[in-house]
Amino acid sequence: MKKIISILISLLVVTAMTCGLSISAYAAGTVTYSADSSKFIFEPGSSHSPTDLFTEYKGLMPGDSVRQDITVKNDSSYGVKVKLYVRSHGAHEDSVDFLSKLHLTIAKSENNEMAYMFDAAADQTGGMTDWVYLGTLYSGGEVNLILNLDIPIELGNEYQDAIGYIDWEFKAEEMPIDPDDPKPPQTGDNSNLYFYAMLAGVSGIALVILILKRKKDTANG
Amino acid sequence: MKKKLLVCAFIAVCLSIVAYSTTAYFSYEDTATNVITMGNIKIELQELAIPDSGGDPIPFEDAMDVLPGMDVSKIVQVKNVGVQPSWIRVSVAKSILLADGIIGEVDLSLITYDLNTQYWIEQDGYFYYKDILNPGETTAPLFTKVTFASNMSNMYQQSKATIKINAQATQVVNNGSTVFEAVGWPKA
Repeated sequence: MKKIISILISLLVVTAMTCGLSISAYAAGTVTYSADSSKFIFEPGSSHSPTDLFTEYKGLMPGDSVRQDITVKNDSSYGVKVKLYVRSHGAHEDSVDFLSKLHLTIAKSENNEMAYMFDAAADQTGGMTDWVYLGTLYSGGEVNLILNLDIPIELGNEYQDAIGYIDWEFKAEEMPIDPDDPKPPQTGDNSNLYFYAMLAGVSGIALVILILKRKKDTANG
Repeated sequence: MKKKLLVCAFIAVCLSIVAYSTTAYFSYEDTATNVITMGNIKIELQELAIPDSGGDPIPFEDAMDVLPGMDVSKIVQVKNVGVQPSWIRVSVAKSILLADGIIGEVDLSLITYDLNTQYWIEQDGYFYYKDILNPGETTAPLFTKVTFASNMSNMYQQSKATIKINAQATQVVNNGSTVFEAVGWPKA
C-alpha cells in the first residue's frame, strides 16, 4: 500500500513536470537584445534575409490565414533593465503592390490579453509608424508578439512566387536597476505563472508527504 | 550678488540633473528585414507514346501517314512539378484540316481516344481529375491511344488531324473538398 502511494505521488510529480515542459506549436521568430555585446540578434533568418523573423510566412497560398509568434528577449547577463521599442518602416518599394493585398494584425500578449498594435494592409506602417513601447525587460525577460496574416482567396496568378519585404526597427534603452525596482525581477512574461505556482505547490506537498511517510516508516521500524 | 550665485548654482544643479538623466542609459537600434513569400502551382503536361517496337514510353512525336482503322499511341498525363497539391482539369480539342483543294464537312467523331473514366470525369467541356495531385505525383493517363475510324473516306487523304490538349491546375488549399467545388481555374 505504502509503495503504491509512493508510486502514485511520484507519478503525479512527473506528470506535473512533463506538463510544465510542454512548448508552443508555433515556430517563433526571436529578437534577442544582449547588453553584453550591445546588439540585437534576429533569428532564425532565411535565405531571403539574414534578419528575417517571419518563419511561418513562406510559400503562402490564397485563402491562408497564418499566425506567427515573435519573442523579444533581454538576454543581458548583468543587471540591467531594458526598455524595448519597435517601429515599422513599411514595405520595400518593390513590395508595396503585393503586400497591399494582404492584411496583417500584430498584438502584444500582455497579462493573458491581446493589446493590438497594428491592424492594416501589410505594406502600411499603421500603428507602428512611431516607436511602440514593448515593455521594460529585466535580464532574462521576454515579451511576445502575435501576428496574423490573411491572404485573400481571390489573389491572382500574378502573385505566384511573389516576395514582399517589410523592415522593422527595434530600439533598446538600457537603464540601471533602481533599488525600488520590484523583486523578484519582472520578466515581462506572465504566461503560465499560476500554473507554475500550482506545479511548485503540488511538488512541495508531494515531497512533504514522502518525507513524512519515510519518517513514519523509520519510526515503525 | 548672493542671489546671483544662488541662481547660478541652481542652474548648474539643474543642468547636472539633466546631464545625469540623459547619460543614465544607452540606446541601440537595429533593423530586421522580414520576408513574406507566396507559393505556386506548377504542372507539366506530358504527352508520351509507346514506340512501335515496344518498350517504355517516349515523348510523343507527330504520327505520319496514318491510315483509317489505325491506333496511334498517345499517352496524355499531368505531373505536379510544384510544391503545393493541385486540382487538375484538361481540355481536348480535335480538328481536321483537309488537304488543299478538298472541300467537305469534317466529322470529328471519326477520331476517338480511350478515355480513362475511372479517374477523369467530363463536365463543362473539361476532363476533371477526381483525385488531389500532390507534389511530384503524376495523374493516371487521360487516354493512351487515339483511334482513326476505319470508315474514314478518301476525303481525309492527306489531311492533318490535330488534338490540342490544355491542362490547368488550381490550388487544393482553401479551395473546396472536391475538384468540382474548386474555383480559381486559369482563364482559357
